[in-house]
Amino acid sequence: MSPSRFQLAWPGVLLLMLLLGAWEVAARFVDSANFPGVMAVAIALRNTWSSLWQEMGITLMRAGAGLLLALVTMLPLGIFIGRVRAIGDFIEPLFDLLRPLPPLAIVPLAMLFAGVGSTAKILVIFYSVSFPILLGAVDAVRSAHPMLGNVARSLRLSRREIMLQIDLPAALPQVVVGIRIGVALALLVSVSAEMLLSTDGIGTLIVRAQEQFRIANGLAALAVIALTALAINITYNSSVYTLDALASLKGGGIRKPEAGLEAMYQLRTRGPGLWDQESIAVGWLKSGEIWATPYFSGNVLAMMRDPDLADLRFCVPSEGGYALPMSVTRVVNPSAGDQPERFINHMLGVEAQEAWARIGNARPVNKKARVPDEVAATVPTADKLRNVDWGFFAEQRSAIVDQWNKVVNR
Amino acid sequence: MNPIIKKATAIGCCLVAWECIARSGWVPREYFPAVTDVVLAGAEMVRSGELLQAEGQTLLRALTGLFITVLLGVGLAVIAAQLPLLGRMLAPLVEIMRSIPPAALVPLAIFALGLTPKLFIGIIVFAAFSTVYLTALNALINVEPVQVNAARTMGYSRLETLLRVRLPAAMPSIFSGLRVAAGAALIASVASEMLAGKDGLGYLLYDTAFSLRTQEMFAALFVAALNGIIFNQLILWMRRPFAGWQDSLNRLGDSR
Repeated sequence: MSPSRFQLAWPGVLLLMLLLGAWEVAARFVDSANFPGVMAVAIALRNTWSSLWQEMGITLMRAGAGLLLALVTMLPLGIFIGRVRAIGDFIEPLFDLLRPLPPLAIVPLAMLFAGVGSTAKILVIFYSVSFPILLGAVDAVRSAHPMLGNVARSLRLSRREIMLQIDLPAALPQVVVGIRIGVALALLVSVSAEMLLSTDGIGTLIVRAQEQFRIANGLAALAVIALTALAINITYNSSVYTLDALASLKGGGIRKPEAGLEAMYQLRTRGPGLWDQESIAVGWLKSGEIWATPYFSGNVLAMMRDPDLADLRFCVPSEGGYALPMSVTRVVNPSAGDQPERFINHMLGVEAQEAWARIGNARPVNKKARVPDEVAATVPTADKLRNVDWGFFAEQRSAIVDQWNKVVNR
Repeated sequence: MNPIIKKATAIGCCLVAWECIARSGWVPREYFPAVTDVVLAGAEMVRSGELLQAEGQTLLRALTGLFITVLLGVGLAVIAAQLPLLGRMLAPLVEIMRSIPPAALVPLAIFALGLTPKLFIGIIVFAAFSTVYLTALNALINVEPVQVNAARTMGYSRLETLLRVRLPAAMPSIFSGLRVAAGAALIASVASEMLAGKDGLGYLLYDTAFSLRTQEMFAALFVAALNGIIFNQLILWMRRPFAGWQDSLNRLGDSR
């Protein structure tokens, strides 16, 4: 009577194959790394398999923690609310008020109270899956056959005994339905929360793949999520500065980036593994394994002051350095009165600018600030710095990204 | 006690407790502003047009997405109910769609669709489609055989059976699915605006939180919750002409 599983599935499998085939053909036809084909995704999947599952593990742990937390709190609460009418009538309107709030809308709130770490994400997951579980339990207790309650009363069971021995088992089937909804929701919210508060996990992996224009890797991560169940930053500034700089070595620039892309590809495939793990560079600087890095950060500044480490200095290559635009601004109607104004003026003042030049090894913005000789010797003035043509980049973004993918990520 | 009074008391007590906690200084007021602060900030945002503009964007996106989803989901379900082969072909695809978090699609969709209204609406359709399609298909297939046989005895054609028997019988389930899908659409619109937007309620929430405008953030949260209520009421209101017959039947059953 009932067809076997295989028979049931073949038309679907056929359509999937057809779609995948069409995708591959279309990808070969378009021939852009912005639109990778099935094969490219499969290769990316194979290359990143272990790290994908490692990140997926983090994501699943969070989803599980949020779900478990919701289960141990909301199941008893639901039974309690369902059984003790007087309290239920009072609490329920509050749930009605909270329930329509989309789970991800509370991400910013969780961030304010719990930061961007695991706690915040687990809180968001907990909030999202609480309602299906809670409402399932309340409904189950309320819709239990009245005879059950009558029997319990005639047996003179206490309220607690009724809840534990009658309501809990009676509610379980409906609670299981709530959990099934909850599992899917927990995974969904977990991935989304990781994308919004990027630290680690598979959601973060997708955002990172995006920032490095590696669409195939992003799709591979997506495939892993599908197997188990971005704030797009397209002006990924440091990549673009590096591209311009490397291109300029052969007389190019952001307008003529071919040589830069080729150099990027060489760095990526033959460089000392700095491509994916920029923080490793700091460790290697410390141990003296590398002598030069394009890396400019507070870490390096701190290391320069570390007496235990070998002599580290910034120097600008003869090809020149880049002007990095920075800005400071105050908000409209600040709650702190004129403090922001004064803070900005202080930062731009002679005293603060001299300190910045001395401690930060940088040229001050304020011309009246005195520059220590050792800083002046290594940091050029703004008129000697190169500028990336951001207007051109914005205009030609997709063409440059296309080229990047063809050459660097090949 | 009148249920409305009961409800109002409960909510009122909660708001008073909130106000007291916020003003007591137990929690930092920057992170947990008092109700009155939130109301004032909300009123200011309404006056400046910031809130209404974001709300309008989000509602428009969610409604357009939902409308397309209904056309697509119910339309495909009707065809799949007539052509079982199509249903079996689509089944694995819909299962895969269901298991992918819509938010995870946003970064990749940006490349395919750009930062256009198409992006937001596409994500919303993706998020809501499977629920609408699956509930509609289930309901259309599982119509009482008695009703279908009766229609056949009356000499109804296939099209007449579909329009006069199957679809009306499936309407209550379709609308239940629609209510769930409306929730998914709201989540998807807020999430995609958070991830890729430069306007809309999701962006407003994210932006206010990151710039520590907590009072404004709470006001936006309140509006986000209000959207859920609006959508629910809207669907209940649309349900009446299509599936109201079931309610009157239920009442009949209760009175017996």
